[in-house]
Amino acid sequence: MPTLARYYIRTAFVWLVLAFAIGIAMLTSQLWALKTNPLAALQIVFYHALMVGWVTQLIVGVAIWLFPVHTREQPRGNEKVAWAAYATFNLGLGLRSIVEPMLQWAPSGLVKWTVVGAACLQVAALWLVLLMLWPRVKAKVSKAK
Amino acid sequence: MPKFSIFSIRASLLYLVIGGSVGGIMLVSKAIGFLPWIWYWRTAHIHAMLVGWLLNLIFGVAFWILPRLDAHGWRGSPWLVWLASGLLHSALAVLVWASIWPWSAAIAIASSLECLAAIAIAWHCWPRLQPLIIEPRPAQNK
Repeated sequence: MPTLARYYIRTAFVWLVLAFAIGIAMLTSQLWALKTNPLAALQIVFYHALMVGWVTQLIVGVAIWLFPVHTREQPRGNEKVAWAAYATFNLGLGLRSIVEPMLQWAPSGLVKWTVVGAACLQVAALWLVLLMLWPRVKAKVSKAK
Repeated sequence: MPKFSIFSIRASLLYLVIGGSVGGIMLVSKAIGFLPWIWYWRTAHIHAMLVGWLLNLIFGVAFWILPRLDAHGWRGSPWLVWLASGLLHSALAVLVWASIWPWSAAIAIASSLECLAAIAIAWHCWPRLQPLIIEPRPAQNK
């Protein structure tokens, strides 16, 4: 398995564990019987950790590994794009997971603009994933005789 | 990779970036109140990610990689997978349309189209879900 795919898949597992930890915290907080539960702000983080951090990142990691090779010289296409996608994907999601609940807990100008930055990183990551995988979705090239 | 898989996986990648970009605008809107009408697109965002991205990808990869039906590599008639794909895209079009011009029956219609797509893809995949048949080796002389 290529190094890139291992990074994507291992980080996906980290997000799976984080998502379940957030889920446990949210469920446990319901036992406190508070009038307003502050951890309810984590619900959106839970969904995105599970569906983006875990599911989407796992799919991209497996696609890097198993999709048809790009060329013999560059089997996985431009690896710089793939690493840039990995960095922006996890930085964006990580930042968002921290600052999005803070919009409810402690809203400030800094928090709001950090959320905007996290959104831009996440969108950039998805376009980089498209750029990385698009050329590898292709028919099998038959070998010249 | 067969033609249907190329179409379906590339469509799924487009849904990922378009649905994700709508989600990104929603997050910006939540923070600074930019384009507040984007929240009408919430259902379309969720469907683009769960149905457009994940289901199209699964359909494409399943058609490509499930066991073939014969030794010549026959995957079965592709019309059912094209039908499933068409139904999925129609469901997503209905939802996007309803996000712009609200329409109370949209969710029921889109869900029914998605259900029919699920039946069509299951119908195609069912006979391909079979164990690998390995011919027994000829008995060796001891």
